[in-house]
Amino acid sequence: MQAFPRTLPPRRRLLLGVAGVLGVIVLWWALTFPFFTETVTRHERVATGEIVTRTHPVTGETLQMPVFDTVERTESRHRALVNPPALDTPGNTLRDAWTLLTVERPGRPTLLTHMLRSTLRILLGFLVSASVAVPLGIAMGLFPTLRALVSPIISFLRPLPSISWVPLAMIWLGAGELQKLAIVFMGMFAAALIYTIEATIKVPPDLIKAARNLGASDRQLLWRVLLPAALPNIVSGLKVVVAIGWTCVISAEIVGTQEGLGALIWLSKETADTSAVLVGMACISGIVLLLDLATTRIERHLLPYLFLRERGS
Amino acid sequence: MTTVLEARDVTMRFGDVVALDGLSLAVAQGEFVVVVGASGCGKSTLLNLFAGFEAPTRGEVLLHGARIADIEPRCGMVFQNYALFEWLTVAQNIGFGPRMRGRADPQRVADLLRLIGIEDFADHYPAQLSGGMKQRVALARTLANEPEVLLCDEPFAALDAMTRQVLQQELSRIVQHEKRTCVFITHSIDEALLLADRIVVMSARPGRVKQVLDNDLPRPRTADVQLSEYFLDRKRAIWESVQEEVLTSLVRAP
Amino acid sequence: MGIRSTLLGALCCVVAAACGDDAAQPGDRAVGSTPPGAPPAALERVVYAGSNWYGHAPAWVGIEKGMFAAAGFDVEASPFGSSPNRVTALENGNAQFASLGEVAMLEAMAEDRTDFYWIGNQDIAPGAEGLVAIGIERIEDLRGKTIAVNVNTSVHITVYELLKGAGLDLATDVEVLRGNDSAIVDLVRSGEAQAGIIWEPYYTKLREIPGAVVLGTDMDTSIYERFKTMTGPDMICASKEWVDADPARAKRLFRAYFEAVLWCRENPDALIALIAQHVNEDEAKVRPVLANFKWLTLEDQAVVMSDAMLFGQAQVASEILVRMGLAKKVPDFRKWTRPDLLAD
Repeated sequence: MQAFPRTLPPRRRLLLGVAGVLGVIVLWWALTFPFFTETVTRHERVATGEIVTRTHPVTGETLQMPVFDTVERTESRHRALVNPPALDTPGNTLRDAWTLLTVERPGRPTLLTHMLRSTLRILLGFLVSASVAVPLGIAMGLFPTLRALVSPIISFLRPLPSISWVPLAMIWLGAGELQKLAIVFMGMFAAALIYTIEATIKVPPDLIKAARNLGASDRQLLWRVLLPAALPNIVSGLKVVVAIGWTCVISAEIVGTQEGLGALIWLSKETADTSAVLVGMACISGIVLLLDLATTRIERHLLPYLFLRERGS
Repeated sequence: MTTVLEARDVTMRFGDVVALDGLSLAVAQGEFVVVVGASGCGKSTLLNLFAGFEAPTRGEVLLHGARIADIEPRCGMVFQNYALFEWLTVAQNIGFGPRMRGRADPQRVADLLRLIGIEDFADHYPAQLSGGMKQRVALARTLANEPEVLLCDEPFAALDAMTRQVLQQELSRIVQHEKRTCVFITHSIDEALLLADRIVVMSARPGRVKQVLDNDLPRPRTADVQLSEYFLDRKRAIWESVQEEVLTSLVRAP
Repeated sequence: MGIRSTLLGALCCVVAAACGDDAAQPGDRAVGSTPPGAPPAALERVVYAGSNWYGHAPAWVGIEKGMFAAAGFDVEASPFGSSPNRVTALENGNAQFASLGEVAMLEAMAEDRTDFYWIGNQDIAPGAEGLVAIGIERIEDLRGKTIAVNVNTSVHITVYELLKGAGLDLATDVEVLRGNDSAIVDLVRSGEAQAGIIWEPYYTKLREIPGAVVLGTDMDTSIYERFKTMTGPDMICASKEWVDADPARAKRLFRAYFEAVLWCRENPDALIALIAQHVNEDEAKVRPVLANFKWLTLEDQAVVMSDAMLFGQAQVASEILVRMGLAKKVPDFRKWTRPDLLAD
């Protein structure tokens, strides 16, 4: 037995993973299980039988008002270590998730609408920012002059968290879809650009030399060698960028929309609906995982050579 | 014999560093020249000049008597780290040069696959190949371009000793079969003796030609030849010449 | 005590310490060691959760005019964000009493959160929030349009009621854009929304947008017509744990508080000066807003906390919250009240 083994057999890894998740659920269940019975005092209004004459503070009419006192009553209620609204039981949370998924109440769209809306916002923002950032990033990777010109601006933009764009976006663009697109765009753009520049710079110089040596023209060098060589790193950078998109869209959905997981989370926080907040968060994780799976599939299809192991000898 | 490739009194400076200093070397048609030297002696710089990747600070580099002014596809380069295009199959890698120049020739690709013994791997990607296989593909890719001169920049340095031995013999066979002119760089004296018609020993920086030896070991240079007294004598002679340079470069190494 | 006066006191301490004992006169030293307005140590420290809204004025008055100190309390008025945050502050003991919006209170009750009491209602200020549209003259014409709403607050109920009065359903007949405070103004100004609803001081800014038409205020709702109160007035709530620990002490606190409310009603000019100084605003700006305020004293609570006013209103408001999916049920809100604490 090694003290610090580098890896585990896959079966064991899977089992441990499942055990970890189950552990969290069991802990959750234990924390929210009503182990204790607590007696609480509630105060019931009881008319004393006395009547007083009062003036209505607004209309000024004279009213005969009954006088109330309270009678203390004890109620027993089941309590857990952690109680709503801090955290509901796993079962109730699941039930709330089901309600969110299936019941459309006026002004409150279903979970599916929220998920679709946020995903669409991210994908649209991604398409726009990638279609600007990738060509610009490649050009910056290829031309040091352009890189020197634009880099300081990128260094300024890069550290800005997407949420810091919300006020400016609202002043300039209001609080509609354009503002959301702008926030998602700004959050993704700098990262997409930097990943693309890095990917382009990192193309091994020997590949360029080899292509030149084999007689490739400037055009052929760009399209047949530089782009395909940079593509894997650009793609993996863009995958990270899509994940960044979620922080952006949640910031963007603080205001000006009823639809989207961000809207769901922010509004549910206001109404102390912890279950809905948790469900919204779980949806984000779920979609990010799904998107990652989907992009990996596309990658497998588009760049099959990245997924090969040495076979020949 | 006609001279194909020639460096005439070539000096190459990179800022304050003099990589080559007044180096002259002529390579004849069909000749296999191996350049041996300590690391940092400017061997790779010499190849870059021959391939036209760089222009000399002073002096001339000539191909068939004409000055090499730009990247010269007639001098085909084989790189130490293979420099294969990972996104292309073996066959596509080999066919890359002709395709770029609008002369795709599937038959030639098939012939080369057979010549280097990897026809079964035509549709594989480089990632699926071992180092030795990769270097075979890289060699075939360069040959597909029908270069006048084959420039090899320590192509076997990253391979294990046994694979290296096999590939050395294959290279020898292929170069003879295709009647190629070849400039080969190495820091292995054994490799030089095994491959070369002529061995050029370079001095430590600044690089100059220190010694030129004709290598008249009989071909094919089998294991027997490699263990012969004559082989060992030549090895000793070259080692003595190189040792001095290695020591100089060690003392001077940054 | 406001943050600013606390800071001021701390600053005095520092200055006094810096001057040194030798330089300070005996009288100065007393000021230095005890910040101005700071009560003797015997007073019980109580935290009031509020904000800069004028509805919190009675708490400021109670602190500055000594009503709390006279009752034995050292009250600190502390800002606690939005109303839902203040409910939480009461529940977990970060504050002992608070004034907060009715909507947040009813929602907490609907979640069976019983760790706070609903004590009473200190003021109404109807007419301080309104629905403003640009280039639209009638509420009926809002069908299919976009309205910017600070959802989950009183204006959410107001706009629901105003639309209902014109035969429109907020949930289905219009598009709602969510926003807070000044965002509502931005949404309407930029044309993202054709109408918006918000309270003062943003309501004034809404009306200043060119082409603005006021389509209605909370005074035009059926809630106001029936119960003569706002769609979501400010409530006085308290921590249940703190009250239950010593109900007599709590009674003392709320008596002192309502004394301060009475002072507000009886000293309108002095109140304006006090508020202006407290929120760092011109008196001229405070005066018109305060003109809408009606202070509800201890005496009034019998009517306020009855079916004639707030109980009736809370029932309607809760039903609307359920209808809009903001609350899961209509709570039995009477169970959270403590009329005994306000009795003679």
